[in-house]
Amino acid sequence: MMRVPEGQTRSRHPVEESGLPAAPMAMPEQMLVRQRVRSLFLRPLIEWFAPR
Amino acid sequence: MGFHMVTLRRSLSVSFAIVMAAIASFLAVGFYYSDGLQWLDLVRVALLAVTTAWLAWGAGLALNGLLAGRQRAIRAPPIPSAATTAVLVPVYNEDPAKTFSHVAAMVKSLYRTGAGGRFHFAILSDTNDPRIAAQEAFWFARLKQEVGEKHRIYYRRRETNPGKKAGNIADFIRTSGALYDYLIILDADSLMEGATMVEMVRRMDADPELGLLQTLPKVIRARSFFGRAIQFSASYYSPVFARGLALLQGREGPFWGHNAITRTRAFAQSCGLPVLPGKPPFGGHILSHDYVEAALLARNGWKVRIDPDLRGSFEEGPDNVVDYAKRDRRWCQGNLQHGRIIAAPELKPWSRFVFLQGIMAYVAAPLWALFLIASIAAPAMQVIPDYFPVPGLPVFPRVEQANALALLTGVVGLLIGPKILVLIDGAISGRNRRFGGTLRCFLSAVVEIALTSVLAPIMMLFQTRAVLQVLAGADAGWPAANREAGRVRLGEAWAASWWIVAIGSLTIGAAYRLAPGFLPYIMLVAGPQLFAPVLISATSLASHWLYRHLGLFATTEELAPSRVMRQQEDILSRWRRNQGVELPTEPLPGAASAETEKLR
Repeated sequence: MMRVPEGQTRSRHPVEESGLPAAPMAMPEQMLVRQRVRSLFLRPLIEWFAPR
Repeated sequence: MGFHMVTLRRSLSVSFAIVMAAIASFLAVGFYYSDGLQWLDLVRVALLAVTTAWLAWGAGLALNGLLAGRQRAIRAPPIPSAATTAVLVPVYNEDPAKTFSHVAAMVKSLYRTGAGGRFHFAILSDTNDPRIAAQEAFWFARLKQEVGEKHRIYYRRRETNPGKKAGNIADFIRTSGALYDYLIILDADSLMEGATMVEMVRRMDADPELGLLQTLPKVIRARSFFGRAIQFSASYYSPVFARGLALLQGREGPFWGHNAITRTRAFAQSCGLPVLPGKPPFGGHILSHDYVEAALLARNGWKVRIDPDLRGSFEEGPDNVVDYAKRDRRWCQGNLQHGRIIAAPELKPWSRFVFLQGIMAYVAAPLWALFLIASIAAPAMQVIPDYFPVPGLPVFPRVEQANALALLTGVVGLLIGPKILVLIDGAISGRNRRFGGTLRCFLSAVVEIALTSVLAPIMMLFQTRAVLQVLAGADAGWPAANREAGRVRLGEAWAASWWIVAIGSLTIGAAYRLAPGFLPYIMLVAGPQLFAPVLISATSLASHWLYRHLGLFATTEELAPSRVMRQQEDILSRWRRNQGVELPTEPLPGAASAETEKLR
């Protein structure tokens, strides 16, 4: 999922604009879909088997 | 309202739906058992239970609204607000003269309240048809001329339209949002009284935790028989259902995408929508963004509320079945897409339930269709009853016709019972007077119930097809809304619904061969399907004379139009009379013929 850091506005290309005031406000993208966490269960095992 | 009261109401409403589903299942089992219970009967019972629970949930909303009585109007202190509000009007290939005349009327209405200077209008165009874009430029100049140069009205057109309407609003916030305390989000066909907008700002001022306040827009300016029935339904029944919803929602109310006010900071902080992984219909941009935005505001701790007592909020609706089905196709895709979001982290349980309700609103149609198919198939798969389970004494199967009748009455009761209760409540409270009196309300309610009953089997197939199309991966795209579509000619209606006639005929044929005893019940559903093109075309005809002579489907907004409505009509007719320049006269994209094309 693409995330835009807070405070960063995307580039815009308005074709027509009649004096819209410039006063940017950040609108960070929200997390809606859970990240896949397959590695969560595998990681401890891998670490355990890893050579010490 | 206290948290415990909300929980109690929610629990009682869900219990009511479950109890109704259980009663329906019990009656159905009794009926099916009369000729021997088989596996298909269990499928029928399960389908019936789910669909009955859904109907009962809707009836429960109305009961909540009725039992709660009139909500006292929420009054905020009458202190003039220092807040600055942007009124956003997103447009997408709409008729600019009409939309901009709405803006002109709202600007004038706001200035009558004395608070006009605190409201700036921004027309946010995503129009990609160069011909309409040229018209927008022309009518924007006309709009500025109409309201005077001192009023702040901006116009911006995007080159491309990523994120569609939600992206359009987000683009405004990212560019100019910091200047405004609140945003009033409208649709191209929205109309609001200035006093309503001022009152909305006051209510936002009064509750710093309130992130979004939704009004209940009334449908106006319907011309056809179908459109006027919807308009009556939205004006007469919807406030009661909305009152019920308001009591159940707690802090997690709805957002319907327009005719609402939001706190800019809350919206910006919470509602940046991601592009979902994968391709449409389930991936890509979020189509029904409003439900998601309401859930995200609630997730961030903001209150989302609907205030059904706020008057002076209007919208227009589809005027024929074809247009309605087209809008439904888009909403269906949007709601089913919520299946991807329902498990999003940290959402409030009620928000997840709202997504489920939205999905169920469309999945109910194929479930009813499956129930009918199972009901036709069951007698054919019936085992021959064994009259001599014990040698010597014959045992005859019980015929539980009373159960079937009770079941049918119950289902019909859940469908029309709330409407009858609203009618009785209106007669007692005097509300019916605003709709032309109880007699007219009774006539309108009877005709509306008859019309929706006849159209329900047709809508069921449109919705079933929409669900199947979405599940098959077909994307509805982003067609322009067609609010000016008029009459649907018989040929167009046939093109859009011949397949419904075919399914209706097949159903009757199958019932005749497989379940002749069930045929009269099947005819209630398949009968109207046979006449789908005629019904679609006939209900799209203008019904002014029915209104003028009988007062059929009269609404408060029609009997006593609000000032902003009258002013908008005056402005538009004046503009069209004195257009001054020759504008292209061919129909705008999305006219009726294009609609039928879409639905083929």
